[in-house]
Amino acid sequence: MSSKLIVDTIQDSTGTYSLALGSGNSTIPGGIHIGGTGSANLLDDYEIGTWTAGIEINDSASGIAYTSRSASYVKIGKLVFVDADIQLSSKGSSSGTVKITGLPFTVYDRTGGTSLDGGASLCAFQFGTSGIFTPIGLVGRGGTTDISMYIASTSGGNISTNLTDSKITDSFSVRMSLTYRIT
Amino acid sequence: MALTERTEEDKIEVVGTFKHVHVRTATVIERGGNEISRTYHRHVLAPDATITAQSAEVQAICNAAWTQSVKDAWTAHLAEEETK
Repeated sequence: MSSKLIVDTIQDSTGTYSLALGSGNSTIPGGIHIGGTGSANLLDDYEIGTWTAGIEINDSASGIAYTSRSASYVKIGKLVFVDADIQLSSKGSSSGTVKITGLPFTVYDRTGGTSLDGGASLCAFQFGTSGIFTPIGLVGRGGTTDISMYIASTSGGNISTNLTDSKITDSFSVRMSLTYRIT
Repeated sequence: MALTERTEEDKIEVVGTFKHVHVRTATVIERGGNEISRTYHRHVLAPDATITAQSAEVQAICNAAWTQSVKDAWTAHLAEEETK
């Protein structure tokens, strides 16, 4: 069904005109160029939703069980904000590096010189850890849907040591957020 | 009028060098056949993923996109990333 489009212009105190649409929602299938007409000025997507955040140890989810977990995302163009609450009931029996899996969009592989391409942040909350001197550092891994986790293993040390199974308990819990770029 | 709920994979995209398959699942609530709510859940499948639990459509797309050269490139990428 077609209907009439109501378009209005508004003149501000400086004499500049701007476009005004009606009070209802507008649908723009293609996108909007902002500040220019090049591809770098195109905002073409906005979306909110959920994703399934997981924990893997040494690239394995074997034996890992959850008391609860929830995760959501907001995508604005090529920028993605994610947050998650993850609480384990068992960390399984694997040994090695701990990571968060399941990001809703692949992290931009910005450079071949490092896997640490994505946005970085610190866990807002962590529980069930030992021998950790700072909040857990988080970095999106380029070209993947994983988040690497780093700790300072000494007081005053850099947050540059991989979080491993020996530093967490079966009741390991984190609350986190991360903003990263996609391809 | 009765409310109904259904899910559909309303967007399936093959993304990037390593042909990650991005799947958006929409949960749609309808009243009397008219949509009143739509929410999204996303997951991503990499070329080394187990896809037996995926829908037939997603499996077909994965199998078409994930040639042996793509799988090899993905394996090499992961191995390279581990060292950095």
